Amino acid sequence: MKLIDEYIKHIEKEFKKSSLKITEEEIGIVNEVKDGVVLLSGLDSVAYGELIQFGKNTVGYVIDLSEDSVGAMVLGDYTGIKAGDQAKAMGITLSVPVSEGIIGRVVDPLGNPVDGGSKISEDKRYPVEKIALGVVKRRPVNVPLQTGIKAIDALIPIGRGQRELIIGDRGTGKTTIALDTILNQKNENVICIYCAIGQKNSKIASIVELFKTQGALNYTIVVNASASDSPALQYLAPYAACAIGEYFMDKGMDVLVVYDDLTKHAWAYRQISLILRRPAGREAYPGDIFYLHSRLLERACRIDDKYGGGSLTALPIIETLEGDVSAYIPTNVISITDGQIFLETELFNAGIRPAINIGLSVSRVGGNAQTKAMKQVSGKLKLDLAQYRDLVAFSQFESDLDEETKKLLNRGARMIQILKQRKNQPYSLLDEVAIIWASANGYLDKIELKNIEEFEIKLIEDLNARGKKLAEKLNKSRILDPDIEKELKKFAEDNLLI
Amino acid sequence: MKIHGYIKENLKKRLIEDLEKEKGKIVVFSALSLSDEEKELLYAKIPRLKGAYIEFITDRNLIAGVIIKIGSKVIDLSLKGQLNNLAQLAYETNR
Repeated sequence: MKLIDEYIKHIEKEFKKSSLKITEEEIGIVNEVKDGVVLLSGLDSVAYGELIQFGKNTVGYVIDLSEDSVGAMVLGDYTGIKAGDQAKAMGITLSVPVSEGIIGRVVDPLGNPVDGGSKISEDKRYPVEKIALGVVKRRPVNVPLQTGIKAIDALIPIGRGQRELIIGDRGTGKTTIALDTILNQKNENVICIYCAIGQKNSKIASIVELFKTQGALNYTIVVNASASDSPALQYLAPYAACAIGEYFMDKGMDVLVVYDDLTKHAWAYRQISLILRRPAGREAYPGDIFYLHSRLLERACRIDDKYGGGSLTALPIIETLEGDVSAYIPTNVISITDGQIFLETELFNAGIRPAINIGLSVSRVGGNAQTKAMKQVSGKLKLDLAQYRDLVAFSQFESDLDEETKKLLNRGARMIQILKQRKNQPYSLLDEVAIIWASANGYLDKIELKNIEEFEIKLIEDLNARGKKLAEKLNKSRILDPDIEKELKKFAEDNLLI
Repeated sequence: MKIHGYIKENLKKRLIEDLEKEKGKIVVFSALSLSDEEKELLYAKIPRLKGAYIEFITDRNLIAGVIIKIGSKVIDLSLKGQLNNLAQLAYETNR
């Protein structure tokens, strides 16, 4: 009988121990559902940026806290949410899953794959909103990021950790410049992230196809919030792309992020803000539109080697209307970034592609990062081009110009010609240096303008065939010493003769 | 008709007080109406409820157990809530 007594005691003890865990949940009621934005009551102690859950599979992101209501944007489909529904605060902030496995994938801003592949494995979760790195952990930009585009590498050099704006009208080749830069990072050990905001899905498909055929998908991630996605996702996309970039940057790698484009990002944020009835300012943008972009681009940085190295270069893209750079968003982003590449429709239509307006484009910090060899050859190029621009107005009355002027005009026209480049054909450092060196030293002065491209192709083919050693030497020393110059001279002369 | 400033002030105060009360309002939903003994058990578990004014509402949909609402905070101890959690877990792991 003793056994039974003990047994009953044990049961009684078990009964007393309640396994019920009392957990408090923060609950709100949906009052209004607007385009992608939900207004709720309740949720008294919810925090800004916290996630809230509607029903089974819809998540919202708190972006507005007023006295008696909470505004949240819905991430994903908002059509299933009804007024009167319950919403639960989840007590966490938004983050994206990241791991090495994300390389080569196409994901939405929440880290879900949209390329039909499997779920992305999760090594860590990185917060979408993060305060940029402080002064102590940063160091100045001094390593070049070769874009493979002659005009940019020579005249508007970009360094790792820099923020360089690409600005221009629609159809002037903004995306092409960014894509060529990504294609050129093939053997540069740089992780590239292409963030599409409000773009056509067909364009994204062709970009992914381009990456695939050019082998760029081995080091590239595409974050896509297309025009058909909700404004909430479009708003989050660049921050999510930056968070993914920070994961690799924290590993000590160099990262390049392209935001294509921030104009549409500002539009998405404007829509959300107007629905939330925030006071509209200039061009109906809300008051914090500057901070929207500054906090994003400020996250680009180059970390000091003491803190792990690594860098995050940002190439934001802005689309202007009729070349108007004094509109609200263009001026904002121009002032935030470390320089801009300004593209013009007139140049594009005149056949000068990339259609970079060299006079208006600047790189405020890239000069320190430019390769020595490139600096040596581009100095002369810059001078010649500046003189050419001054003189070109006169060239319409060419009849009585003195010899010296004619020579300068002749040289300038050839300089313009060699800065042209076909798309999706990034140049190696040696190719760039060789062709600019040849023109700066007058080897092209005797060639007719229309034959210059032919010469260029020949020279590059020759360099690829016979110049392996030279390329190695240049990549190692990065300085144009007399030895290299002698070889360049030989290459130039050999190709001129044919 | 113009309302006197003094009355206006009082009305404002009253409204704020009412709102405060509404905020701290405690409602207990249960599947079946609770006996006094059961209420005592509940107070023992959550001391905050003792002595406070509580509105009791029966809702068969809960199947079993109680849901306690304190302002915007909710403590869900119902079978329905547990089943919902299970469904959510199944959905998430299935994805």
